[in-house]
Amino acid sequence: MSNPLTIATVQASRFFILRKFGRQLKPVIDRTRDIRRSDVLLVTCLRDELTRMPFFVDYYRKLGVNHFLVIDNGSSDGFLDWAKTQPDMSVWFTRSSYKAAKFGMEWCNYLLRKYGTEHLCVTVDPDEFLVYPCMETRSLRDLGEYMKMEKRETFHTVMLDAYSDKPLSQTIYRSGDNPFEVCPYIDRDGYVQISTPNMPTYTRGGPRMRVHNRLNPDKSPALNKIPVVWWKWNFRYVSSTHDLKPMRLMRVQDPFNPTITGALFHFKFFSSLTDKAMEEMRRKQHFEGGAEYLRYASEKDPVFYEEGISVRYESIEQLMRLGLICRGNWL
Amino acid sequence: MAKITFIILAHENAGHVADLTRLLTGWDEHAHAVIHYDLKSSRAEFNKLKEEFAGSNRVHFVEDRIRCGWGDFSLIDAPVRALRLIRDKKIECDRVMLVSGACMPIRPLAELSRFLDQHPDTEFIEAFDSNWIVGGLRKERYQYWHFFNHQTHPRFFNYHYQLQRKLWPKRSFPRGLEPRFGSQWWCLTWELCEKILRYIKKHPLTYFFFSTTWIPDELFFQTMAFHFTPHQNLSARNLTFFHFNDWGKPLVFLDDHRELLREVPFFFARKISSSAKKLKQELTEIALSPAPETPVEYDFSKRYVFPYKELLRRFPKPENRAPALFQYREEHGWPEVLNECARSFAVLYGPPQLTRRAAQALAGAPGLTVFGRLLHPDHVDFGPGVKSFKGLHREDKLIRDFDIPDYFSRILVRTENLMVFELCPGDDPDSEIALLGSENAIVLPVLPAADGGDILKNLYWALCARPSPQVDDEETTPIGIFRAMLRALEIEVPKEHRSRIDLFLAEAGRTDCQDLGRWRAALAFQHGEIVHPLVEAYPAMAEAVAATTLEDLRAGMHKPWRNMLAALSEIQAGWNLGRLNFPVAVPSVWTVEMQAQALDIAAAALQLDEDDPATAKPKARTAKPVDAARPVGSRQKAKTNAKGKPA
Repeated sequence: MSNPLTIATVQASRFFILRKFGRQLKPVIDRTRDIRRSDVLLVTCLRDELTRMPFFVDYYRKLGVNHFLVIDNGSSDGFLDWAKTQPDMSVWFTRSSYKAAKFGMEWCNYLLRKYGTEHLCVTVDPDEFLVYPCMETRSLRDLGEYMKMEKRETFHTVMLDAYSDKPLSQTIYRSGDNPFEVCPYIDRDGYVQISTPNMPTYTRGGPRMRVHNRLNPDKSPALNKIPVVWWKWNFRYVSSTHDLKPMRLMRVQDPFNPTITGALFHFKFFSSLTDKAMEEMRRKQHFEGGAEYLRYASEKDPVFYEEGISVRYESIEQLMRLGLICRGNWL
Repeated sequence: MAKITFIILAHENAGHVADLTRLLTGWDEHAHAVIHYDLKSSRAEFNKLKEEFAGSNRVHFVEDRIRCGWGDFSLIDAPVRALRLIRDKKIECDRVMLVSGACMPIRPLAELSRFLDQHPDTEFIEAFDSNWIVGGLRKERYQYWHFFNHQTHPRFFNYHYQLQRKLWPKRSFPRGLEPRFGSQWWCLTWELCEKILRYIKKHPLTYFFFSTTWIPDELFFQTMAFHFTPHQNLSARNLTFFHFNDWGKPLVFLDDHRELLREVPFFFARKISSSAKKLKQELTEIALSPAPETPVEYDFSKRYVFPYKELLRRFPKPENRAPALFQYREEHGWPEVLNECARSFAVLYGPPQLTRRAAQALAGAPGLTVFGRLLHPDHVDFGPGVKSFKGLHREDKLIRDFDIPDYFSRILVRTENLMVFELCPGDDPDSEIALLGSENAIVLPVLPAADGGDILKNLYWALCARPSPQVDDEETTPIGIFRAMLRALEIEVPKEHRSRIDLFLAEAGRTDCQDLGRWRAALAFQHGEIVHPLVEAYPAMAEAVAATTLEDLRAGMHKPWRNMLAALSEIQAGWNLGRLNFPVAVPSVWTVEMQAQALDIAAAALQLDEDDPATAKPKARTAKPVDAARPVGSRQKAKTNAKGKPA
């Protein structure tokens, strides 16, 4: 990639790709003029997720997100009406193919390049909740300042699938509920990290390996994500937030200093998952033709809780003691 | 009361600077503030700030502002301009203190004033030789010309510097001055400041010299102070607390650093985050409070060492002591697991039928957790009839094989007392080499009795064989069955690994400790009290192994293979449970000598086979030399190898 000609070609084609996907987005609520230079932005792409939104927005506001950039991929649950009541949210609407847009990532890339350049940007799904060391007392902007001090542009996290001790069908989430209370359990260990040339921290494990991919652990989904980035114009996510280009951003390990890392709580295992899995299999808009959703649909009401592996999430210190996240040198 | 004038180098927003200025001038009617507002910050903010203090005669602004940059000469020029302003406006003061917009007082200002009264002649500035600089350029900072800023143009800076090193002679320091280094934030007497101003006026070329050095703000005032002040009047540290990280960036204090700032023996701290509202509020209250009755005793004649590393060490650490996810790892796989997780475990190593008997003898012993064959090729064997162990399941075979060392460490951290498990040769060659050679391991190998001869060795391997669907069971003659068993073994265990284990067994037989007392002492020395239950139970285990007859083995065998053992009925099968003082390494690097040794063992076996047709091996197998180049293959690899060979 270091060849200037290659870089130029790639960037030129990126320009046209982003322009194409940018044109698919129709601004519905545009409050981007309120964005100030030091603001922390959050970019998300969603479809029929209104139930989750109130808590999601509150959670990230408390962490210090100043503006939400939302891509609405054809919601039919009245999301737009709700979004109009939010003072810090801009919404773009599209009915185009989620799959063609690399699972929404090209739309996010477009917004990130247009509005997120030189900002601290958080890119998450509506079911993902970021936790980082010292989050009780320090805001995302403090984290961003620390990253700048350490000359880091990215903040790496491990995705922790959270679940309840009840069968899936009885794990009911109602709008406004705290998902950390509905699904308080996580796996304490069993996260296998390997290093591949394209992904130096390829991590798999958790309940999705233990329950859904028991017979094929190699196929279980990656858990390493890079949701927080000091965005520059030439950065881009490839097909998901697992994979960020240019390549240097994927490298975390520093032999001399511990690196600060966090976790991304993933609240997927609610009773609504079964319906969603059925629908997503029909739409075939997800990765590998929704193969993952096929596995979810084929499991009959699984219980994810497993005595000995599951622990109740209590605090950030707990995650540090379990060796899942690290405070680095952030005094 | 000392009359203090604060020079504030600021670039933050107007409201923030105004708060600080109000705090620094408000506590005493003799306190003045001279603000140099960075030219890089917006004009509007500067105007706002000026408006705020329009009516005040104790807040002054440097009008000919300059653009400030890290490590730049502007950080000298800005305070010098402020000093000139103090002189021109004839501000009455006896102390001048340089602070930045992000500094805050952490002790009452009245106390600072009293402290300065007590030390009227001391200049609070660090002035050390070049050893003060932690890393990077030292004397080169002034020996060469520096026109580029390393922060903004690192490449130009480096090229320019390297070029000069090759072509240019070094500069000498201005005559009469001695280079001194120290932190940028000082508190000086006004007499000294006047001397410095006069010096600059008299020696404009020397002043220019400093403008072409790198990071002059850690050099100029320090050199001047050292030049003009009797050295006993120089303090060893300044009044402002700061700490730099590896990149030369200062530590930023947030709301939860209150306790930390309470403990450091300084009067000011740099730098306070603009978002730390609560901390600022608290520090403001402290700054305005009256001086305490008993003055604090701060020793400014010694340097202060901030226990940064100590504080970092207090962070919560992973309980299993391995590096956290995504962190740098020196080693991977087995070495990492066995080194980081420093817990002892015991391995019963040998053919499964024999180790199972030993394990049964242990059953129910207090202080031991006994498992079955954890690395069994078909399932995770936690012991007979045990379905799961603390969340880990018998069916987890694929998850285990996904990362065997990690899975092993999960079992290890879940067992509270000494863990004992069975291991069969050929379960997983890599894991065997790592486990048997580990310092954490107490290895109890099943050894064929020395008087049993090599026929027992063959029997040992035959017992390790497992019926495999790839091998037909239609053989009826003893030699046919024996071949079938060896073919099954071939699929399970690579030949090279078998040679290795033969060497291991020979070595283990040699070092086998005869004296129970000595063995016990050696184990206790290495592993501690935890081994006692195992040592207590050892005689029972050894007896169970030794008492195993051919008939017992026959009963536990794959049905079509049983006839083969009937042919051996004449032989006295004797097995010992070995006692190793210290682990015997399985050779992981295959040398020529080892190959010769392995061939000797094979030749001896061959000779014996000729005497006894019942256990004769196919000649091709023994005569073929061990392939030295073949690396240690995993089980998967061995399988593919075996497929390619004609049966």
